[in-house]
Amino acid sequence: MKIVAVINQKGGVGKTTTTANLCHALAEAGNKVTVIDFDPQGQLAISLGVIAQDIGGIDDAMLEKKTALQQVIRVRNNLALLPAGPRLKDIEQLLANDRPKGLVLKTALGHYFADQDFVFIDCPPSSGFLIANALVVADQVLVPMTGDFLSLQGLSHLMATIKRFEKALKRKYKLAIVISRFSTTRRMARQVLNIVLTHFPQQVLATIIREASALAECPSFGQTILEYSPNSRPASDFRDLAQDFLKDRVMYGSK
Amino acid sequence: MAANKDNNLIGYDPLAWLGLETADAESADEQLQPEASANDLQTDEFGADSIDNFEELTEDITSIEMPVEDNEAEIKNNMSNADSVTTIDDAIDTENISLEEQGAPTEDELGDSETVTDDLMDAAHGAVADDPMDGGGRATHGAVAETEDVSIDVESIAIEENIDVSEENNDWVDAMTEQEISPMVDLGATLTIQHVGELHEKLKLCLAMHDQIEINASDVSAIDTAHLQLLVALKKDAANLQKQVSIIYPSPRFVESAQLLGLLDLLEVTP
Repeated sequence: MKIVAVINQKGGVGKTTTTANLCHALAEAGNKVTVIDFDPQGQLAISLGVIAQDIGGIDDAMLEKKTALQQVIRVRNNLALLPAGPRLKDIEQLLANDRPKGLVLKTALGHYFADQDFVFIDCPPSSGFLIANALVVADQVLVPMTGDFLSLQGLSHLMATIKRFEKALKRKYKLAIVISRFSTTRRMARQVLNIVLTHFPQQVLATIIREASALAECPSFGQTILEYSPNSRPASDFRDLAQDFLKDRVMYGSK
Repeated sequence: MAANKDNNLIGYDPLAWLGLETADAESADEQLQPEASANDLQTDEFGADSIDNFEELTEDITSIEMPVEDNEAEIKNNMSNADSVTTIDDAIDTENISLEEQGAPTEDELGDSETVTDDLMDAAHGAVADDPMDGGGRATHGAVAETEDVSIDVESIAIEENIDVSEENNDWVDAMTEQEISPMVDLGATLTIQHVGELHEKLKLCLAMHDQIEINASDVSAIDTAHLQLLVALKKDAANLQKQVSIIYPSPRFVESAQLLGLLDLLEVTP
């Protein structure tokens, strides 16, 4: 089982879209995937068709009210969801003071998901308690980013954060970058991609997720792009991305 | 459309520090225990400390993995190698201290000087904002970025102290080889703290690429202490690297500002 944190402290880079569609594509390819909605906004759950607002999720597991396994919702074949839950946004304040704050998620997950191939954590667009907990449990970091300068700047901050954790935990994360919401006609986007490739020549997944209106439309139907428009270009992109992820296919050759 | 003459739509590379970090990390990796993982964390080490934000949490993690004694020892060890310190950033910090120790004018003493627009504390803050860990995003950083800068101070010292800009195989240098880095840097007219990050990045690259650098200060009509400290730091780094930095054609305002802070000798500028 591999735990993958989908992180970018910048908002609007396609974290939730990437998580929902990539996880579904991985599940469709036969992998057992559990995805944790670790963003208090709960939009991953909505993207996967779980629209109930008051159901508990990872929040109750972290508060030790229920086990994480009890909170799992099977949303697709091979794909399970652990929703955020209404208390996730206040989780830090609700935790007992004597609990080790950095290991709350790790404790909550326990070994319940050992039978899964992948556990994805869709992180909130912020720094703080939730991100720290995600990084403590993660084996791999998946970073969606767009082709604009502020995304590049956000990546710089994220890398600083990741390196601090690597130093503290005495380990190296496997890092993969997903270029999402990419506009092939924008020179700026290509220049950003070149800079990213310069610094991460073996860590940018080979398939670029191009900007597409269908990707913005499908969450409102509670569907992933593989369901909403299965033969579309973005659906094909995400299927390819899933293979990149599984086979370590990156730009500039294989790892 | 605002773009430079090379049609480059990106003013600077916020990730430029990664090459520096990589070079440092290679040596740091030797000290890491590859088998170590999150499981090694002592759960009660996070303890009952009130964790208000991410920075405190990461500080906790750092303290778990690196006992205070070891941390101090590492810093002392790094400081003992201060002669080989070659980053501009380090020298900036040094200058923050030395300026005060040398009895540089206080804010009051500077009075209404139009040319020196920021006091020493502002300049010191600017130096913190120049931390390469933040990639040069300077004054536009949000609150999170600023707090991160402060919280990683100790680590950044440890990291930066080990950086050798002269190392020819640094990735960040390689990454820029396709770009033309001129050995002459033109200072703008108004040098305020908002722009010190850009100059910092440019000077770092320039110092890595050339043995002789000329800084054209003829257009300067206003310069703050952050910029002056950056230039002092550059001079010191260059001296350590046995490279030469010359400030050419200094404008009267530049000279006046340097004179106010007693930096004429350090900058080798004559009135």
